[in-house]
Amino acid sequence: MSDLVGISSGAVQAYQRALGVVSNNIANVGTEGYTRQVSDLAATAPRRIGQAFLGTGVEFQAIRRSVDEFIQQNMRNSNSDLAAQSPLVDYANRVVDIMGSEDSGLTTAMNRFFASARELSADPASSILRAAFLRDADGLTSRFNELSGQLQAVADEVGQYMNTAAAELNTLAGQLAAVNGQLSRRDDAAKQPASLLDERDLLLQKMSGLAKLKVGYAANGEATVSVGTTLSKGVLVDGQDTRPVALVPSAANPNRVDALVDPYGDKEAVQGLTGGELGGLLSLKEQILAPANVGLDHLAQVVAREVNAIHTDALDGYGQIGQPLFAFEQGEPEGAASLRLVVDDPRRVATAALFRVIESPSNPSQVRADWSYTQPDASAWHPSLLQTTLANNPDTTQSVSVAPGQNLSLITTVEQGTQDAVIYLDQAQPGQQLQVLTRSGVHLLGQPLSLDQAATLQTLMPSPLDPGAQLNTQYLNQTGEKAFMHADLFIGAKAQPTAVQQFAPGGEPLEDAITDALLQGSAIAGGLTGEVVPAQSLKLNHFAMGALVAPSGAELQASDIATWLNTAAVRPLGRAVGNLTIAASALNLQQEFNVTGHQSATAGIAPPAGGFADINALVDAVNAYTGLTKVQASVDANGDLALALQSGFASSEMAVVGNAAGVPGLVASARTAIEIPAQQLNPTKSLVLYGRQAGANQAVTLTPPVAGWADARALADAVIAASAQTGVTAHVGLEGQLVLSNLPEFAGEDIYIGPNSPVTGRGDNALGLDAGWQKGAVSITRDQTQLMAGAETVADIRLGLLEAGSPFLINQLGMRAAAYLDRSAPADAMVFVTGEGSASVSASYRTSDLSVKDQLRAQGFEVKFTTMDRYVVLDPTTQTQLAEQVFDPHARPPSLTYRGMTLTLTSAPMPGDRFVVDGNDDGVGDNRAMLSLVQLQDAKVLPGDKTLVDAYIDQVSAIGNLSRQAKVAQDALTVVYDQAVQAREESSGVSLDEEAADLIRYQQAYQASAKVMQTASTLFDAILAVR
Amino acid sequence: MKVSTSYLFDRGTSQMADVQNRLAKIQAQVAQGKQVIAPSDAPEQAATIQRLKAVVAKQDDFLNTMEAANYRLQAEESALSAVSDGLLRVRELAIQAANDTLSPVDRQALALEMQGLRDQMVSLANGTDADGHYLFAGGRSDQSPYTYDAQGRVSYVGDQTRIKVLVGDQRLLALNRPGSDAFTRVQRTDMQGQAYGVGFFEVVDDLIAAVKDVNQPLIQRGADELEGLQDGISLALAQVGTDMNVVDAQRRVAEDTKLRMQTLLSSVEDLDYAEAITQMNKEMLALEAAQSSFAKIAQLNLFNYIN
Repeated sequence: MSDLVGISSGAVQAYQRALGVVSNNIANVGTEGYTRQVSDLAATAPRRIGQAFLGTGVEFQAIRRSVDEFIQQNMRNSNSDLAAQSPLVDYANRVVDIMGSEDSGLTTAMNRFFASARELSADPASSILRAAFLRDADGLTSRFNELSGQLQAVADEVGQYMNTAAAELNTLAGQLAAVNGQLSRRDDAAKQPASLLDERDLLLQKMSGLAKLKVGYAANGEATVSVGTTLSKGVLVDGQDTRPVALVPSAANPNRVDALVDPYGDKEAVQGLTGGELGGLLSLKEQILAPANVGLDHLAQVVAREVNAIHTDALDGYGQIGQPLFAFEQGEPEGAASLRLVVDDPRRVATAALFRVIESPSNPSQVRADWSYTQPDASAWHPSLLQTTLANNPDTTQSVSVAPGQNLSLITTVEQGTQDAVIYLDQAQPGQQLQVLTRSGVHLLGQPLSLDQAATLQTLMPSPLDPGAQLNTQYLNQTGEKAFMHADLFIGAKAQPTAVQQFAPGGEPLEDAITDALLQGSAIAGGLTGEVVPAQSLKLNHFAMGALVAPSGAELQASDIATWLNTAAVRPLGRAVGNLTIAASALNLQQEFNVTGHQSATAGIAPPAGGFADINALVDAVNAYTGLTKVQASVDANGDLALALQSGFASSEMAVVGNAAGVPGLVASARTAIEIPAQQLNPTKSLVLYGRQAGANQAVTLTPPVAGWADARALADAVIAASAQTGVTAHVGLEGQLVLSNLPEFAGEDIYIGPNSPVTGRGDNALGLDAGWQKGAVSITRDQTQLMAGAETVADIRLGLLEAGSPFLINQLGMRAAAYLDRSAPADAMVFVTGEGSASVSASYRTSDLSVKDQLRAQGFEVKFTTMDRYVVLDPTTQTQLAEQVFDPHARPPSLTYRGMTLTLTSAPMPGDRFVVDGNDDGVGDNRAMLSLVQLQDAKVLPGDKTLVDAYIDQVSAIGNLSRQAKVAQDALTVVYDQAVQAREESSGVSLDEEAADLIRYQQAYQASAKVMQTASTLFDAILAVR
Repeated sequence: MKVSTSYLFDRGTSQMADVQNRLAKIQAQVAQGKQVIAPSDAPEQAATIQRLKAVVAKQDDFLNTMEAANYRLQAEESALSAVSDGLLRVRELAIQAANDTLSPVDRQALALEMQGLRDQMVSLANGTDADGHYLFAGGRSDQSPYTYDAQGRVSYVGDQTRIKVLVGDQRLLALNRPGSDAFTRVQRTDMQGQAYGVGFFEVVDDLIAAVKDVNQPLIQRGADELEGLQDGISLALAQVGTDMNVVDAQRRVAEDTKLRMQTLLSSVEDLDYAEAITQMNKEMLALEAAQSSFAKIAQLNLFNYIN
């Protein structure tokens, strides 16, 4: 009987609990994350009675959570995937709406800009349209700025969203760790309170909406969570430990964001952070916001570049070259945000072309000309440009060598506009010439080319000349009005006055001090004898020089050269009708005379070797030509030369030219100076010393004291002591060096230094110099005495070449020969050396400030057809002939090109037709540039053959497509998620119908068990009633 | 399969929200009459709309340009035809002057009239457009192209810049004629047999001088040269006429294109009301059905039957 009571009471208890579980389920029907609980009832262990086992009733074993871990995981994953799409869809749509809108997008502003360019192109002189153009250009830049600002606002919002999402993830992780802490008290998940596990699962579910999780469980139900690619990477929660997630802008790319775990501790970069809102935001940033920004910035750069290229290749309303229309804010990255309009004056809008061609009003034909310009590629020229071939350093150590054995060696090409180019030729060989010729074939400087040389030049490959260039010697070595473009071109040795900037004590600048020109030579060549410089081969300033002849039997000294320079200039001595008297003091009996008499008959009267003995010898020589010149000479009472025409010819004019004097305003001097640095002196050695004053000076041997020369001063004193015998004096220079030089009366004479060591044959003396004659140097400067007498000022000193001259002659005089292209080089000129032998070339120059195009604009040129098939190119201001070319009148269409400018003619021109190309400075009505700007609208300037607007629209479309893709994915993933939710609800959800059924079931079981108890009681009562 | 109670409610509400969203969108479309409310609704369609609108705007620009060009061409035409008339009259007078029987006084009268015609032609050649820009000055449109020098001779000081404007995607129209193109030179030969050009007004001036001086050969030469000048003016007039035809033709092209693009634009952009309203009714029906069915289903519960 007790069994019956035991069974039923146990059952009542069990069903009471089961009903409690059901009512708990019903109570939690609206609780988020609640998992339906199920009562586990089991039959208790049976009792054995005899052979039979008797049941002992029911037992309430446990409350089981109706959960399927696989379904939970599936739901978390699908939740992550779905949540990732929503920021993509929302923000991509925002971006598309901003960029694609007609009001805020770029398309309308861009079209407006081009539309006003088009209007302006129809009336380029209109100031109203110019202002409208600027207004729309400004509209374009501000649209770029606004777009960039709006995109930035979206980016900022996304950034905040990210931070909020990360903070939420971190909070949830903290809560999960707390739940883990409570779970840790038990060691079996089955023994854990169901509500704790529900809370754990709910937290995981919420976290999965923020990022895709990897979840692992301990036996007691504690969860480990990571956001990395595996469970061990990017761990957020491990037991009760949490590590926060942070999002920081990528250092490498500001448009990207990196996810870091534990940013302030053991920093770990997370690679696989995908899914969830965070993953969605990261890919939004990377796939949509960054490309949109980069694309917009690139577009702004292209717009600025292309528009500026056109605008700076045009003329504005002031006739000046256009400034860039757009610029980027200083110090900011070049992009849509920093794009600015930098022109605010409507007249500064550049509409006109940089060039135009004008027909001469007196052209016989009606031929019209159009132009196009392509900048010539100077880097392809042969020989190469000055700045690539020669260092800008006139020092001979920086020179390049001219190879021997060539009749013609190309050196370099001087680009037009190069400033103050000087090209030196040193160690020249006899007969070698430095030549300068324009690429158009105009010979500027040098000596006339031989037929061979001209032929070589014209057949060289690659050609140094423009195709079809004709050689022109019209301007060779000309100066002043006859010079090529009136330029100052010179070949020879040259010195200029130098201006030295002066300052008052207070620091304010004063007028420059002008230092006289000084042409200073170095030591002249040794061993020169006989005729060193032939007559009429060199000229000093405008005066031809007579012959320079070394004294017979002697070597030429610097003093001889100075004397020659001061006396041998070919100058008119007199000119008169009938009678002429020339002072004896004006005559140089060492030099040649020219006497011109009746009917301009001229006699060249050369002196015998050593010169005319006296004035009478000259008279005889003149009279030897009387038959030719009708001039009779005599010596008058004053001892002067008197010339008279023979009777019957007295009305003729006669003139005498003689190499009798120096050049007005200039004086030459010579000096031999030997400088030895103090540390090179040999204090223990002797010195043999004397000057070359024929016969007068004697060699003196200076012997050092026993202790040697104390210093340079001591040696100098010894030299000075012997001055009377040697003609050589000495002093100690500022840097302690010993300077030996001539006594003033022997200035410029050679000084002998010795002796040599008999053993080595090399110098063995106090100066350390090899034994031999030291040559002096010549200098030419302004003659101060004549300056006092009111002579004209001499600006430059120029020792130049006449037809028989060559750089070699100048080198021998200790001077450097060079081609001087003063100020701006007037044309693209090539420099070459004719004549065989080796020499060295060096240069100094400044490259031009003006571009090739600007120079062509400033200068302009005129084309004149001389015959049907030949034309010349003239400089409009000087009428210099720049080039001569043959022309093909039968070409279709006829065209010609000069310096990159191509003129296309409507038909064959007539002789006498002239066309002037100029810089279009007053062509305000020209619209050529604006037309190019209009055509930019349809130009495919972006990669993939896209126009500006197309590129922008494509960008918007691309973002739209991404958003569309995200939307499609969102729809698909919603279905997946719905299924997962449905599956979860199926297994874990509370259905009131089901609970109602359970309620009835357990209620009835409870009632039945209670009935059993009653029955047992009745039975017990029955037994008690047995009496 | 079990449906949990909360799932039943969630599903019902979310489905109704979906239908309501769709309804709101159709309502916005109907209200605005546009297919695309925001570019994000249909990015491709929005791009097409923008492209089409740009084309339409461009055609409008072309039409504006052509209108301006037409004014200018008309101004050129009227100036040139007046010059042509003047030249004809000068030629008549020159032929009269060549008549030996005329008295010196008559000749002076002829010369005087010729002088007046010449002055009128100069002022026509210095004509301006509505903005005050000289018609025949080339690029120097702010300076009068025909000026008197110290000797009273008129010479051309404009340049030969020929301005073109875009009147179609690939069509350039010559907007101006430099004076030297219309008022052409004639060719004479000097003593050395070298040909040289003589300006339009110099020819007329020489002729007037010849009439005054009664220089028959020069009058004859002048009359001959006038024919050359007349040819030049006629050619220029013909070119102006051609250009005006081009404007007419291009205007039709632009208008056609504009109409075509607008039709296309309407088909892409504008809403088909019949379809939209039908769709709206459908969605409304669906919403009503969803609402009433949900209300009914939600009432069903086993607990209703336990008592």
